[in-house]
Amino acid sequence: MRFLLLFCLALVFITDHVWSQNTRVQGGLFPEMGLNIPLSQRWKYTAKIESQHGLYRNTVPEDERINYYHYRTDFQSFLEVKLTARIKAAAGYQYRIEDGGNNHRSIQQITWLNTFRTFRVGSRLRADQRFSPDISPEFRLRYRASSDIPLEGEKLDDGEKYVLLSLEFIPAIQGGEFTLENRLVAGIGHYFDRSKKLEFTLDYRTDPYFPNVNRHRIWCKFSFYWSLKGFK
Amino acid sequence: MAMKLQLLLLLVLTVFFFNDYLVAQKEEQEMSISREEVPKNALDFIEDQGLKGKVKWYRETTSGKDSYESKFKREGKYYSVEFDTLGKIEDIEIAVRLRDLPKETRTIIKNSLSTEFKKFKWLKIQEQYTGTLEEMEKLFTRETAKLTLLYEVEVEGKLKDGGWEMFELLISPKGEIIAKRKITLRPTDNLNY
Repeated sequence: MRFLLLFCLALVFITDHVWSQNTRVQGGLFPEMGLNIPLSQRWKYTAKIESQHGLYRNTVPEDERINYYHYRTDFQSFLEVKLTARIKAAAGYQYRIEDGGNNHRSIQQITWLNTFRTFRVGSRLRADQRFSPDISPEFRLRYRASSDIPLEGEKLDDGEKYVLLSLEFIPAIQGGEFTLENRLVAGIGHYFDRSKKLEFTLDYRTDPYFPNVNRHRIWCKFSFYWSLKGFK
Repeated sequence: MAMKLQLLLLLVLTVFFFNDYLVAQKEEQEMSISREEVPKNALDFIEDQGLKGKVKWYRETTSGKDSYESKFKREGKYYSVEFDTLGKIEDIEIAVRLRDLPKETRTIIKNSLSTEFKKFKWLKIQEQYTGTLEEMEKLFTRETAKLTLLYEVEVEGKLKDGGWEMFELLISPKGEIIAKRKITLRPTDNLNY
């Protein structure tokens, strides 16, 4: 754990020195927790809290760069329906607390799972719309591919570890301006059992567009997923 | 904010430990093992086949029953050989593609699945062979083996009530469904949210 934190901070500093003076760099800790509540064989409710806590940013005077600050906290709520065994659709709402104005987001997504001999790939196509009182609405259409690959054997059993990899592209339009954000997540997870998973990952985000990136965000992410028992 | 974080952490930990008492064990557990942990008979059988590639070994517990399994690739096909705890061979499974099956067999299996499901999608097919040790060895040579062949088929099927589920079925070459079990997918919350 200590190694992961040090690695995360080192990465932020390295990133800061590698790119130009105009490049914005920030990073810190990113705990998140998801709770799944089965409502029936087909329907499920998911609540999630994500909170980003900065420890470094180069957009402030040099002596204040290493400092704690609350960046943002999101409260999400989704209603999900299973369309087939491997395809699900969900609609949700997010309330975000952040400096410069809290905001609301409506979310719609479709997810599907492809299974291979030793791993699986989950795809997520999500549309979201952000509304806040003082800024133009933002519309995004995003695609994410993620995979959890067992480290001990060909299938993931209780008590085993896995590698988590995920890549996401997020085109967005706001006030007539187009941007593209990229997110790469890599790390390790522990699968306690069907109801609990814990993941430690590095979440690297670049925007507004690739390859002319001018903002890098690196988060040390701790994710806990809890599913209540119910309908399988 | 620090207080809120502490409360959140406390909630997570409480939930985490409390829930340990509520969770039942999975029916099937597979663990990677070294060849030193494999029963001698099982190891001898696999080594006698003169395989060129890497052989992976697993100890498996299915509904309380222990077994050993070796997995390897041979001549472009994935093999899985299962042994009991004394190293006695139980079955050999070979992954095949739908188009590799004889047309007649394909039709028989499709017809059989059509009686079970309103619609279905193929996910995986394996040939499952059982028989005596001597006959099983012939699978690795060009000799004709007297073995019992069944097809282990994984499908995503639409049920009569309209819902979709994943199933594993054991089907005879005549289309008789010998066994059928529902596959419960690992939760995908970490991939979806």
